Amino acid sequence: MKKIFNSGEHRYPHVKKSPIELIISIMILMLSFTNIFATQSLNNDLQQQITVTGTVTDDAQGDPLPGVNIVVKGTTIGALSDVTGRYSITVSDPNSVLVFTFIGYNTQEISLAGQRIADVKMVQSIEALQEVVVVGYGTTKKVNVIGSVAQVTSETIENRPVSSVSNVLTGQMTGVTVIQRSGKPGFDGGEIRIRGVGSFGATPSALILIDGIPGSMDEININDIESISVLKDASSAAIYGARAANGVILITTKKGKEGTVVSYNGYYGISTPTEFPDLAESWEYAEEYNVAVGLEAFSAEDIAKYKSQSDPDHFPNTDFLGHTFSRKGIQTGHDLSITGGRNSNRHFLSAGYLYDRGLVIKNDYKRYNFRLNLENDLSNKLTLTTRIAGSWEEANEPTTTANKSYETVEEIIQTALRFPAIYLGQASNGDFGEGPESGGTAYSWLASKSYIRRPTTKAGLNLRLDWKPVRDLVISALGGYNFAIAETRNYRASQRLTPTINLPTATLEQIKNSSAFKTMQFLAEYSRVFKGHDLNVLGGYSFEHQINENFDGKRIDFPSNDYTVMSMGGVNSQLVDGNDTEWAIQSFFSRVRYNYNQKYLFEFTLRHDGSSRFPPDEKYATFPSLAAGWRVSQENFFKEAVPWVSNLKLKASWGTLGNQNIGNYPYQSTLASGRDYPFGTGISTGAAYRTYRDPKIHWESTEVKDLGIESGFFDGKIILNVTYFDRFTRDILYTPGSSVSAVLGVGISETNTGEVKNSGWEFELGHQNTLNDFNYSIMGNFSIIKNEVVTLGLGNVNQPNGMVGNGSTLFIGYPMQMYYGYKSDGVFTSVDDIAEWADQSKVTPGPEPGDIRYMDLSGPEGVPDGKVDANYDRTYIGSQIPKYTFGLNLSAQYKQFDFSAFIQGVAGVSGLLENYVGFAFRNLGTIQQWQMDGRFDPDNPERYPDYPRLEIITNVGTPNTVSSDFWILNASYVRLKNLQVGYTLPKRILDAVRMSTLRVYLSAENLFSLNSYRQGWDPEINTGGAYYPILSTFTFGVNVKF
Amino acid sequence: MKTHRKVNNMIAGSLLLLILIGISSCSKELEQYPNNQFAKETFWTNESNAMIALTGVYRGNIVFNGTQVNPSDWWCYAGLILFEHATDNAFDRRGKNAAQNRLTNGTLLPDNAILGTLWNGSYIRIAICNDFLENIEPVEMDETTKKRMIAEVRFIRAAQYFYLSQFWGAVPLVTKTLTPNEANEQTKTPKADIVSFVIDELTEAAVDLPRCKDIPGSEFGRAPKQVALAFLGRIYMAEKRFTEASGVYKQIIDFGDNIIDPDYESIFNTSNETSAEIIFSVQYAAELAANGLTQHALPANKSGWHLVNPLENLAIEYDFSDGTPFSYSDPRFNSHNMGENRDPRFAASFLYDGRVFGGNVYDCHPDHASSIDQLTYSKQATRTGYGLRKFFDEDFSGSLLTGYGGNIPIIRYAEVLLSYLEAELEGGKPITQELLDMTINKIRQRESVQMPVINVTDPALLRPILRKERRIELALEGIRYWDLLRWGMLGEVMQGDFWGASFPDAIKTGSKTDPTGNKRWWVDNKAFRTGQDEVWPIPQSEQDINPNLRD
Repeated sequence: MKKIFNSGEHRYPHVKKSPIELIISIMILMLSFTNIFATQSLNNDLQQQITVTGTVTDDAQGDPLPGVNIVVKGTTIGALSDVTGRYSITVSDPNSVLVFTFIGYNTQEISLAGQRIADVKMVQSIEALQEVVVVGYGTTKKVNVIGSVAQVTSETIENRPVSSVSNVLTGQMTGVTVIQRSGKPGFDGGEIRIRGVGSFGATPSALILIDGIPGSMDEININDIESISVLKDASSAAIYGARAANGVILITTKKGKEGTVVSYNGYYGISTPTEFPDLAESWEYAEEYNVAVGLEAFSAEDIAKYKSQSDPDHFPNTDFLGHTFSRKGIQTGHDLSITGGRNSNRHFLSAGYLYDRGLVIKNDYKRYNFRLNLENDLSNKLTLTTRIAGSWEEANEPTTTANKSYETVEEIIQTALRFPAIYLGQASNGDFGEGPESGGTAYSWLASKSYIRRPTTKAGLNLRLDWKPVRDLVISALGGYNFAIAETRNYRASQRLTPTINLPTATLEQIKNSSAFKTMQFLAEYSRVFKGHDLNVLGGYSFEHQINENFDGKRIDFPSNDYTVMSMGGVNSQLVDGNDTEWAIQSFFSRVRYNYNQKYLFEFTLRHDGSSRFPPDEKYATFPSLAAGWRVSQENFFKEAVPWVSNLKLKASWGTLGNQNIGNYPYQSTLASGRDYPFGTGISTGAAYRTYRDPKIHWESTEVKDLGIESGFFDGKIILNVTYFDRFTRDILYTPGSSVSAVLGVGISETNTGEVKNSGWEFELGHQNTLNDFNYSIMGNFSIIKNEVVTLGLGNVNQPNGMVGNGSTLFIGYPMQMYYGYKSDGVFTSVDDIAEWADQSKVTPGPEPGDIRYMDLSGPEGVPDGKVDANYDRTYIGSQIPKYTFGLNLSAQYKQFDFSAFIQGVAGVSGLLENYVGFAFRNLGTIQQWQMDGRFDPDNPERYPDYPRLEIITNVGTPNTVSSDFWILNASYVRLKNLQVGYTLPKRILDAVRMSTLRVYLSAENLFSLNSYRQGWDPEINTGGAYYPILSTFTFGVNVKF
Repeated sequence: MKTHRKVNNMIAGSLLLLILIGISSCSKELEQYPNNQFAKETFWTNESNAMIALTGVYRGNIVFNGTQVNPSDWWCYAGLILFEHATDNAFDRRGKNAAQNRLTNGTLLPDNAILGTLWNGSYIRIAICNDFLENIEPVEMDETTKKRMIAEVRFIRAAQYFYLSQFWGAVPLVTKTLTPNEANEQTKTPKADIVSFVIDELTEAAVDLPRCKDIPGSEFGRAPKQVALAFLGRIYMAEKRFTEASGVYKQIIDFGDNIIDPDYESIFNTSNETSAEIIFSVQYAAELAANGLTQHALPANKSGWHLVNPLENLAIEYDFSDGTPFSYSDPRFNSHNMGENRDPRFAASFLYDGRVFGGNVYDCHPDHASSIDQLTYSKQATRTGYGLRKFFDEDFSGSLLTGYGGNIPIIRYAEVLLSYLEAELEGGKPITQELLDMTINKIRQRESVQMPVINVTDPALLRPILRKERRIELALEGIRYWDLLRWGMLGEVMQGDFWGASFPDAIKTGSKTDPTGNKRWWVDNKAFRTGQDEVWPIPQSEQDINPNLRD
C-alpha cells in the first residue's frame, strides 16, 4: 500500500486501515509532537482553511483513543488522534463531514455544520467485542492472547435444553473433554477434563469461577452466561496458581447495557433414553437358567406356563425395567431477563425456571434462579459492581421401602435391570411380589409413599469496587459471600406387600449440610500504552475460606406414612450425627503483560499460595509462568510476501501450576472416631488408628509447556490453529491404597508420590463465508491426548511380566485409568481344545468348553511357559481416557432461517460393562438379549462368541469374569449431539407488535450416535447396573426480545 | 474539586486499611485441624481416652448395621457363621461360585475375595493394636487398669496371628506401626515363629486379664483371662502339644467361673447371650451396632435372604433322642417334622419343612411352588431343605439390617470342655468316666438337651464320638473348618456329592438321583485338592505389590 504525505496532512487511498499502518501512523503522530512537522506553518498555502479540533474517546470506558483515523469525507485529507485522543484537522468547507475510523470500533460520521470543535465517542463494534477474551482477573484482546484460551459465548450455548452448563461444553473446544455418565434430572452434569487427566491422586477437576468466585456448573442459569473461557495452558491459568493445574473455567455473567431490552426464552422438550436394554422374557430366562445351572431348575411345564401367561400371578412375565421407565422425560425452561440502565447505572436482572421430569415416576428436578447484576459509577473514578444471585432447587426421586437399605433411583433401576421377569411385580388382587431379595421390587417401591427429597438453597453476593485514582491505574476490592443449605430427606415408608408380608419399620433420615464461603480479593492494575509499548501490570491478593456443617438425624417406626417429620417417629433408636469441616487458601499474585506494537507479546505471572491443607512448613508454594508470542502477520515483509494470510501468530508458554483438590485434613495424624463397640448393655465410644498420614505432604505441581500457531487466511474466511502441549505432573497427591500392601493395616491418606505426563495436539479448522443471503460456518476441532504414568514412586514394583507398577491399576509408561487383565483368544470349544491349550488352572480351575481361553503371554524365562497365571500373563488391555476427541459445528443462516448441527465424538477409548449389566445370572440377576444371542452354545461351539458359557455368578465373579480383554469394549462414538432449526420473524411483522426479535426453533439433543458398544447401552455409560440413561431430547423453543 | 480529592483520599485510605486488615487477619484460618477425629498428639493423655482407644481395638474392622458376605474381620457373623459354608456343615445359597464354597471345592485361587478380606481384617486389627501398645505406656493412669488394657490388646493381636498362622502359615509378623514403604517390603515369617509368638503373647496376656467372674455386667464383651487361655488351648491343639493344651483347659475348668447353661437355645439369642457359658462373643446391639445376619440368613417368609443352608451331612449327625444313631429307615424319622424324636439341639439349630418359627410355617417342600421358601435351585430360599435357626430370636420383628442385636459366640465353655477331653485323649492320658462326666457328659446332660451319657473310655472308640459331639454342639458357630484342618480331614470330607434333606413324598426331585434311595435333594459336589488347599495362598493383590509374598 502507498502512503501519500501532502502538506503535513495525511491522505489515504482507503479509509480502512490495517493495524500495522495504524501503528506506524501513531509513531509518526508522536513524532509530529516534537515539532518536526509543524502543521500550522504548512497550512498557510491553503485558502479559507478552518481548523477543527476535538477529542476522541471510547464510549464505554471514557478513555482517550489514540491513533483514530479522521478523514474529511469525499477527500483524501486526513489526520490521526494523538495519545490523549486529541486531533486537529483542517477543512475547506465548514459543512464538511468527518469520518472517524478505528479498528474494533464502528465507523462514525460527524457533520460539522460550522462547528470548530467536534468531540467524538467511538462505540466498539460487535465484532470487536467478540474479539475480547476473558482471562484471569480481566480481559484481553484475542489478538494479544499468547496462552491457550478457548472461549464460547452466549450464542453458542443458549437454547440447549440442558440443566448443567457442563453439557453444553461437550465437544465445543479443543482439549476439553466432557463425559456425561448420567441423565438423571438434576444430576446429569458431565465430568470435565481439560487436556487429559492430570493426576491419579488429587481430583483432576478444573477450577470453575463464576465472576471470579468458585462455583459449580450445575447451579447457574445458562441464559445468564455471557461467556465461558477455558484457560488451558500455564501462562493463562498461572494467575490461579494453586488450583489451576487442571485448567480454569471462567464463567462471566451478563452485564447491564444502556437501553432497555427485555428477553424471554422458553422451551419445552420430551426425552427418551438414547439406548434401552433388552431383557429376557420370563420363559427365556427360565430356559437360559436351566442351561446355566446344567439341570432342570425350571421344568418344561413351568416354562410352558411362563410362555402361555395363563397364570400370570404365579408364572408372571414382569417387565420391571419397562415399569420403572414408565414415562417420557419432560424438560422445560422459562427465562426472563431485563437488561438496561443509563449512563452511570446499568443493570441486568433475570429470573429462570427449569423443570426436568425423569423417566421414573416420583423423579424430577426443578430449579428457580434469579440474578441481579448492577454496575454503578459512583463517581468518574469509582465503579461499584454488585452481583446478587440465588437459586432454589429441589430434586426428587423414589426410594425403597421400610426394612430395606436406602437406595437411590439408580439403584432401583439396577434392581429393575437385575430382577428376572419370573418374579411377580403386582398380582391381579393388588398384592405386590416380594422379589428375589424379599422386601419388594420396583413395583412396590414406586407404588409406596417412600421418597427422597433434596431441596437446596443457594445465594451469593459478590461486590466489586473499582477505583481509578489516577489515569492508567485501577485498584479493586472484591468481596464475595456464598452460602448453601443442602438437605436430603429420605423416607422409607412402611408397606404391606401381601396379607402375610408386611414391612413395618418406616425410617426417616434427614441430612442438612450448610456451607458458607467467603472471599476477599484486592487487585491493582496498571495499564499504559506509549510509543507502541503496551504494558499491563497486575498485582493482587486473595483469601478464601469455607466452612461446612453437617447434621443428620434418623428415626424409625413411623406410625403413618402421611406424617413424615422427625417428631412423628418412634422414640426408640433415634440417631443423630454431625460434623464440621473447614479450609482456607491465601494467595498473592502478580502478572506483567507487555506487547510492542501488538507484534511482540510477552507475559509473566507469579503466584504464591498458602493452603490450610498442608502442614506449616509446606503451606506455601510459588507458581511462575512465562509466555511469548510473535504476530508474524503484523510484519511488513510478511504482508507483502503472503497477503492472503490474514493472521499468523506463533506462541509459546511455560509455567508451573498447583493442585490441592484433596481432603481438608490430609496431614494431621489422628485417631478416627466412630469406632464404637458395645460392652454390656450400652455402646462405648471408640476411636482407632485407621489412616496413615504423611506429615510432610505438600503441593502437587504440574509443569505445562505449550507451543501454538494461530492462523487466518483470506480475510479470516478460513482459520487454522494448532497447539502442542505437554503437561508434566509431579508430587502427585495420591491415596496409594492399591500401591500399598494391606499389611500396613490402615488406610492411607494422600501422599506425594508419582508423576504423570499428558501431551497432545489440538487442532481447530474453521471456515465461514457469506454468499448473498446465505452465510454459513464450519468449525471443527480435534484433540489428541496421550496420558502416561511416568512413575508411581511408592508402588513401583517390578512385576514378573516385565511391567513396573502396583500390579493392578497403575504402571509406568501406560495411561492412568487403564484396564489390566488377561488377553483372551475366544473360548474353549471342546475338551480337546482345553487339553491342547496352555494350562490355565491357576485362573480357571477345571475349565469347561465355553470358558474364556486366556493367553499365555510370558513366564519365568520371559517367554510363554505353558501356564496362564496372574503374575506373568496379565497386561494392559485398554484405557478409559479417550485418545481422540473431536467436534464439528455447522451453522448456516439463510434469510429468516438458521440451522445448526453439532457433531461430537471420542475415539481410542475403552469401556466396560460389568456386574448386572455385563454378566448374565449375576447374583439373582437376569439375562439380556445380547447375552442370549451371543452366548457360547455347547451344541454348536464357536471360537469367538460374544458371551462365554452361561453360569450362575455370585457377586465375587467367576474365572470368566476376571478382568480380560474379552469384556473390554470399544467405547468410541460419533454423536449428533445437537441439531437446531430456527426461524426468525421478519422485522416488518415484529415492528408492528413492537418486538425486536422473535425466533422459534426446533432442537434435538443426542439425536443419534454411531458406535460399536453393546446392544442397549450408550457408549458413555460404564456401569455395573446402577445408572440413569442418557437422554435424547426433542425441544421446541422460542426467543423473544422487546 | 477539593471535596472530591478528600473523598478520593478517604476512599484510598479506607481501601488500604481494608486490605491491611484483610490480609493480616487471614493467616489463622490457614491452620486447620479436624474436629471429628482425635489429634494424636493430644489424645494419649488420660484413662478415659485410653478406654476410647481400647474400644476401637475391640471394634477392629467389624461392620455393623448391614450385610456382609466377605468377612471384614474374623469376629463378625460373616467371619464365623458364613465360614461354615466352606465345610460339610452348610452350603452358601449362591451356589458353587460363592467365595466361601470355593475355599474347599477345589477352585481356591489367590484372588478369592475372602482371602483378601480376612487378610486385610487381620492386619487392620494388628495395626490398631500396635498403635495402642506403642502409645499407652506414658499415659498417666491406674497401673492395674493399664496392665489389663495392655493384656486385652495383646490378646486381640495374638488372636489375629492365631488365625493367620492356622490358615496361611507363614505370614509377615508385624509388631510395630509401619510406614507404607516398610509395609511393601515385609517378608514372610515362618509359621513356627508366628506360633511361638502367639503362645508367648497369650501366656503373658492371660496373667494380667481379669477372670470372668471379676468382669462386671457393664463390661461384658471384654476379654477375660479364660479367653486368652482358651485361644492358647486352641493353638496347642493345632500344634498337637496336648499336654500343654490340657494344662490351660484344666486351668479354665478349675477357675469354676463358667457353666454349661441349662438352656442350649437361649444362649444364642438376645434372651441369654450373657450366660456364664459364653467366655467371649462378638457384641452386637440393635440399631446402634446391629447384626445383619437376620437379613442374610432368615428365611424368605421373614424377608431374609436364606444364605445359610445346613447340609444333610450335618443334620444326620443328630441322634434320635434316646442316643441311637439317626436312620432314614427308622420309624421315628418324620420328614414333615424332622425335629421330632431327635437330639433337642437339632430343633435349636435348624429350620426344616413344616417347622413353625416366629409365627410362620417354614414350608420348604419342593412341590410347594406357591411357597416363597420352596426348595429349588432358583429361588432366594433354601437349597438344602434346611434353614438356620440358631442365633435368632424367634420374636424379632424389627429391621433386618439394623434392628437385631444378638451376639455371636467366639468361645463357649462347652468348647473348652470338649477340647480338654480331646487333649487328654490325644495326649494319651487315661480316659476315665469321671473325665467323661466332667466334659462331654456335662454337655449332653445339659438340662435342655438330656442326651444319654457316654461311657466309652477306649480312645479309638471315643475319638469319633467326641468329634461327632463337638460337631453337633458347636454346629454352625464357625469352628468346623479349623477342626477339619487340624484333624487333617478336609481332603477326605470335602469330596463328592453333597445332599440336602430327604423328601420321600416329593414329586419334584433334585437334579441327581439319590443313590441311597432316600430321595435326598442334590446340592453340589466338591473336589478339595488335598495337599494344596489346606494352606491358603497369599491374596493376589498382596503378591502384586510385594514380591516377597510370592511363592
